[in-house]
Amino acid sequence: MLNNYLKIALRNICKHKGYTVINITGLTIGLMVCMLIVLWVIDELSYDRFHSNGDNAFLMVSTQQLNTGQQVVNTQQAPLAPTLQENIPEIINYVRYFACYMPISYQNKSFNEQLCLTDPSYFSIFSFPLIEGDIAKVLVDPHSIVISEKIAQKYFGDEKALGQVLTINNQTYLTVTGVMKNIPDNSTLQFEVVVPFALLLEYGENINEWKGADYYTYFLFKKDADIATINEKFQNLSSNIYKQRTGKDIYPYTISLVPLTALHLQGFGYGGGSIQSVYIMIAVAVIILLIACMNFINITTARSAGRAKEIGLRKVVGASRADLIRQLLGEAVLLALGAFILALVGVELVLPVFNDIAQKSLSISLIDWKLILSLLMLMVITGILSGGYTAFYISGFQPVKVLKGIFTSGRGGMRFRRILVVVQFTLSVGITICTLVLFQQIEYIKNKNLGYDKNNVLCLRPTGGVAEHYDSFKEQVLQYPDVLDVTSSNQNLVHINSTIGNNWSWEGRDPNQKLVIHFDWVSYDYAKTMKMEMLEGRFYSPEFPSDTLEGLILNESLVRLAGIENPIGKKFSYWGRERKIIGVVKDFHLEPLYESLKPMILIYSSDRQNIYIRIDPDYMTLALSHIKQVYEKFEPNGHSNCYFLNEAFNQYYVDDTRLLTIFKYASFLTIIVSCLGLFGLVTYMTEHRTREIGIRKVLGSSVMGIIKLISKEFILHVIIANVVAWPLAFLMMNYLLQKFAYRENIDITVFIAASFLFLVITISTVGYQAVKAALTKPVKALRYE
Amino acid sequence: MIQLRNITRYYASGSLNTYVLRRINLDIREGEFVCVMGPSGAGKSTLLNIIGMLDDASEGEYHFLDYNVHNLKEKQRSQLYKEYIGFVFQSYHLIDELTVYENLETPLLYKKVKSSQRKSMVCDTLDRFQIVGKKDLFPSQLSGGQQQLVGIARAIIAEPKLILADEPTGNLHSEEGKKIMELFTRLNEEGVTIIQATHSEQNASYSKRIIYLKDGWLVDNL
Ligand SMILES: Nc1ncnc2c1ncn2[C@@H]1O[C@H](COP(=O)(O)OP(=O)(O)O)[C@@H](O)[C@H]1O
Ligand SMILES: [Mg+2]
Repeated sequence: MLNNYLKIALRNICKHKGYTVINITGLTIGLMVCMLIVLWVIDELSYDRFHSNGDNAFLMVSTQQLNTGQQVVNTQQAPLAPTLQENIPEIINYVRYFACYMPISYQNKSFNEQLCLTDPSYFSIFSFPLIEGDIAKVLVDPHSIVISEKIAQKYFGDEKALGQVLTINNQTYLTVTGVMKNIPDNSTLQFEVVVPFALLLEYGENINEWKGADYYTYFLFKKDADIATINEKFQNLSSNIYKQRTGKDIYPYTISLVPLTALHLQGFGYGGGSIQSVYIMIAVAVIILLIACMNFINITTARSAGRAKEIGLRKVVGASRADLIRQLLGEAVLLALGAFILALVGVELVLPVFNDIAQKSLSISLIDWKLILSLLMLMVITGILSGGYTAFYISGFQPVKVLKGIFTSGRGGMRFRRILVVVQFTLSVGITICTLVLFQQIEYIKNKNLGYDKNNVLCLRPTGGVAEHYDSFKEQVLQYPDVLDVTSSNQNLVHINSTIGNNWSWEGRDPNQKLVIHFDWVSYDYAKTMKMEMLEGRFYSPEFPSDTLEGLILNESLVRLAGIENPIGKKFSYWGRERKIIGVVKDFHLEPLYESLKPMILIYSSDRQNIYIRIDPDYMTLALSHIKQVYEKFEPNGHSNCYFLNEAFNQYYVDDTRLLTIFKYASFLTIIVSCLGLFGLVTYMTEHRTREIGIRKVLGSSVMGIIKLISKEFILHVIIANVVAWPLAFLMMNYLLQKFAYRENIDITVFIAASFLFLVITISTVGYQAVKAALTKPVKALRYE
Repeated sequence: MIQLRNITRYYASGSLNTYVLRRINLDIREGEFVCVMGPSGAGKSTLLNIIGMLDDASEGEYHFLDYNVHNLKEKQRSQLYKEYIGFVFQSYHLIDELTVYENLETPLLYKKVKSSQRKSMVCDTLDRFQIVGKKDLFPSQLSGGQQQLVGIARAIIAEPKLILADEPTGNLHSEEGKKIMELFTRLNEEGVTIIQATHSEQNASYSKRIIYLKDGWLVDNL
C-alpha cells in the first residue's frame, strides 16, 4: 500500500514539477532562515554561560536620578567591595577590575595592550581556564602577569611563555605566571592580559582609598541566596557608608545586581547585544517560517483540487475515508520532510556567509536535538495541515460529485486560502517596512551632526616615546601639508564616560541641583581638530599659557542646566579646584546616541591616552605614511594601535548594523517566498479558470476585462494586508528603536514605499498570468477541459 | 439481493425540487442480468449510483443483502461496497497516474489482500482479459476499448457479487461493445449479478430482464 502511495506521490511530483519546486523551495528557504536565526539566538543567549559561577556572580550597578535623566554607573569605588563583604555574610568573594592601555615590550617587540588590573580572585570567580599556572597563585605576586595563548604567541612565538619577563611602560618588569586559554567569543570580558592591583602601589596609587568610582565590582554570592534581600542590604549598607563619609542622609543611588549571564543582553557588555534584538530576531524567524508554511499549505490545498478525480476514483474502487486521509497526509508530510532535509543541508552550506554577516562563529552543532525535533514536528504539522485540509475536505464528498467535476474549481477552499494569502502578505509587508525603518535609523546615526566631525580623524594610542615627546611629535607631523591638525585627550571622544558627581560648584549654584558632569582632559587644538564650535570665549591655546592652569571650558548644556549667565570670566570649581570659565563649546555628542546630550567640562592636561590627527582626505595614504615615518622615529620598536575615529564610532552600532543586514536578507527572502506562493496560486487558479476565461472571451470580453477579472481579488488582498501591516510594523519598530535617545521619526513614506513595492510585485506576478490567460485563443481554452 | 422501496431522488433548485427518481420500487435477485433502459436524462445513472452507494437517495429504503443501506454510516457503507460491488463507467475512469497493473491492484490494496496473493490475482486477471502486454502502460496510452476492458477488469478483480455498469459501451464502436457484452454474459454465467444502464437495444438483448425508466418513473415499457 505504502508502495502505491509513494508511486503516486512521486509521479505527481514529476508531473507537476513547477508546483513541487515552488512548494519545496519556499518551505526550504523559510526553514533555512529560521534555523540560521535560531543559531544566532542560541549564541546570543550563550554569552557568559561558560562561567561555572555564572548564576551566582553579579555586577554591582548604581543608577542615579539626575536632572538630565537616569545615569547608570557600572563602576564603584574600590574600598566598597571589601567593606560590603565584611558586613554581608551572603558574599563569598568579590572581584574588582579596571582596564587601561599600556605599552608592553619583550626584547625588540612592543605593542600597546589593554590590561586588566584586578584582584587575585579574578580567576576563581570567572572561569578562564589556565593552560599553565595555578589559579590560586597566579596573581598573588605583585609582579606577575597572566596572558592569553594569543598574546603568548605574539610575544614569544613558540617559546615557552611561563617564567618569561615582560616590560610594562618601559619601567616595570612582570613575570608571566599563567597562560589563559584563548577567551571565547561569547565572553563579555575579553581581557587578554591580566595584572594584579598590587602593581598600582608602585605607581603611588592606593586602591584602599575612597576615591574615584572606577572599578567594575562583581560579587560571588552563596548558592540559593535571595538576591532581593541582598540587594536591600547593599542599598542600606552603602547608604550608611555614604553617610559616614559625607555626613549626608540621602544616598543618591539605586543599586541593582546584574547576574554575569545577563550582562550581554542587558547592554553592559561591549559591542552591543540586547534582549530587544533577540526578541525581534525570534519574531522574524517565526514570521518567515509561518509565511513558508502558509505558502506550502496554500499551494498544496489549491493543487489538491486537481486531484479530486483520482481521489473520487479511489473511493469508487473501495478506498475508505481513512485510507485517503492517510495517503494525502503522507504525501504532504513527505514533501515537508524533504524540505527539512534540504534546509539542513542549505544551512550547512550558507553558514560561512552568515557567520561573516553576523560576525560570529556559529556551527550547526549548536542546535540541540530538542530544537531539531521541534522543527521536525513543525514540518509534520505543516504537512498534516496542508494534507489534512485536502484529505478531510475532498474525501468527505460523495464520489459521484467528485467524478462529475463539481469539485474541480476548488471553490470551497478559496476563503481559507484567501485568508492565508492576506496573512502572508501582511507579514511580508511588515518585515519590509521594518527593514526600511531600521535602514533609515542607521543612516540617520551615520550622518547625524554630532557637534564634531568624526571623519578623517586618525586615533593613536601612544606608546612611551611618542607620549613623552608629544610636542615635538606633533610639530614634526604637522610639517606635512596633508596632516591638518593634531591634538590629544585622555578619553576617546566617541564615548566620554568619566564623571564628576556632586563635587562641583559656581557662584550662585542651587545646592539642590543634581547634575553629574562629564569631563575629559584635553590639550591644545582639541576643538579645532574635532571641528567643534566655540559659542563664547576661547579654547586653550599656547597664546594664553595661564589658561591651562586657571581656565576651564564648559559645554553649552552645562551652562544652560546650571543656569550660568554670562559665563565668561565667572568662577567654576570642581574637586575643590577653582577655575575661571574661559570658553563655552557648543554641545557635541560625547556618548553613543542611546544617550542624550550631557553637561561637560573640558580640563587642560598633558596626560594623554589618545592622540587625534586630522588628515586631508585627498591625501589619505600619503598622510598615513608620513605619520608612520614620524612615529617610528620616536618609537623604533613600537606598534601603535591606530584606528579611525568614525570606526570607533561605528563600533557602538555594530549590533544595530548587523541587525539591519540580517533584516535586509530576511525581508528579501520573505518577499521571494511570498512571491513564489503567490505565483503558484495564481498559476493554478488561472489554469483552472481557462474554461471560464475561454467562454467569457467567446461572449465578447476584452483582454483588459479578463486581466481585471483575475487581478482584482489579489490586489484587494494586498491592500487589506497593507492596512493590517502598517500598525504592526509601527509597533515593532517603536519597540526596537526605543533605546535610541536620537532617532529618525518613523516616516510615512517608508510605509507607502513598502506597500507600493508589494503592489507592484503582486501586479506583475498576477499580471503575467492574467495576460497569458487573456491572450490564449478561446478554442484552445475550451478544448482543454 | 437488492430491494428498493419508494426510492426518490431530487435536487434542490431554488425553492423547487427537481425530481430525478420518483418512488422506485425494485427487487433484484442474485444472479440476475438486468438492463436499465431509458432516454437520456431519465435517471438511469442516478439509479445505478444509488444502488452502487456512490450517491444517497433523498427518500425511501434500500436493502442490500441483509443490510439496511439507508441507515448505514459512511464507514460501514464503504466496507459493504468494497466487499460486494464493482463499478464500470461510460468514460472508463481509470486513475491516470497509475499503470494498468497498478490500476488493477488498487482495489485489492484497499481490501488488504496479501502481497503474494494480490500479485497472482492481478496476473490472472491480466491473463483472462488478454492484456498482459499492456500491464505497464498508462491509461492515456490505451484505446477506448482497451481502457474499458481494464475498467471492467478492475471492477471484477476483487470478485464482487454485483457489477454495476453505466453505459459501458457508450464510447466504444460496436465490435468492441459486442466483446464487452460477451464478457458480461460469461461473468453472469459464473454467478455474478449484473445491472447495466444502456440505451442500446442491441446491448439490452444480452440481459435476461429489462426495466424501463422515464422521467424518473419506473414504467412497463417505453
Ligand atoms: N447535480 C445535479 N443537480 C441537478 N440535477 C441533476 C444533477 N445531476 C443530475 N441531474 C439531473 O438528473 C437527471 C437524470 O440524470 P441521469 O441519471 O444522469 O440520467 P441518464 O443517466 O438517464 O441520462 C437529468 O435530468 C439531470 O439533469
Ligand atoms: Mg447516464
